[in-house]
Amino acid sequence: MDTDGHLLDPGDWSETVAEEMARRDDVELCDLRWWLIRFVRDHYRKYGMPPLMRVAVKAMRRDCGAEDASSKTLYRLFPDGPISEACRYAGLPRPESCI
Amino acid sequence: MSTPDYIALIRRKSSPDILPGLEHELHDAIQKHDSSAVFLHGDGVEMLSAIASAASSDARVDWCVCKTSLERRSAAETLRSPFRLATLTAFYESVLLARHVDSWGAGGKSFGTRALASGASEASHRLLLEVGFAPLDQRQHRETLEMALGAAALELDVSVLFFGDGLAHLAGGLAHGWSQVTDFGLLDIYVEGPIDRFQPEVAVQRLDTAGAALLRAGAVTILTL
Repeated sequence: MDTDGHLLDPGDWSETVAEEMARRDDVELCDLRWWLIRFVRDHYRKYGMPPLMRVAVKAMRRDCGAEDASSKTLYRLFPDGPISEACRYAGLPRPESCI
Repeated sequence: MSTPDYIALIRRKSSPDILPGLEHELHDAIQKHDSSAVFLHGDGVEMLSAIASAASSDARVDWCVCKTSLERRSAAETLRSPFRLATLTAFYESVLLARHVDSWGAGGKSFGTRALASGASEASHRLLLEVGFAPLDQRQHRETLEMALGAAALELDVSVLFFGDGLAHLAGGLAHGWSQVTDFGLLDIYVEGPIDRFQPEVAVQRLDTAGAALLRAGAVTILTL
């Protein structure tokens, strides 16, 4: 892993690896956290970059039936930065954009 | 960035043939306003050393450099006063409030200028991003896309107008990044004029010359990327 805790080789990722990373961080990967991790992975594979926060919120409302989902909902899942942290558990590089 | 009267966005590569003109235009514009911000983004970051001598420590001017653009080019470089790191989010928040915005885009020789229309508010601030150049490399493509995503992240009323070689951004292997814009309805993408060399692989709205003129006329701010 690099100094930010991201896997150096995304090819090393598996759900077991994500679970182990979360265990070390004392974070439980509940269903919503797993949904965000998988969504970020899918978005990265399809578009070559992680999603905007507003995109993740929109998708969460659509996919999880969470009509009141907002950026606060995402921050409750990963207080240190929802997209960045989801990328880390998803085995993706640290988002490099300053958006 | 605070809320400057005037903002200059510079995304052009530094070159001896354009630098004197750019410095002259920039100096004149800064002198005409009470407060200004100059934002270097993308290849514009390469202007840093070229304009460092012209950059003053005048407190009325905020010299900003895109953090990510700089990291991609010279991660180890230490930014020296009066320059400071800034984000696209901060840039767009300032654009909404500025009275005058100039942009030196990556590909064109012209620059877009638009004064804030009388009575225009933040809520009615229609922003148009114009792209008329083909990206030289993946990085330039990515940073043009990030300019659009930066505006979309703030849910601004923004459209992107591609024309000429700019359509290359939407074709071939480069298109997938832009697909997220239309797949999630982040902003409107327009194409002006005939589509010949580059076939867009992203859902776009086609405009003739008159339609593009209307789009430009309806924008409060036009940024030439």
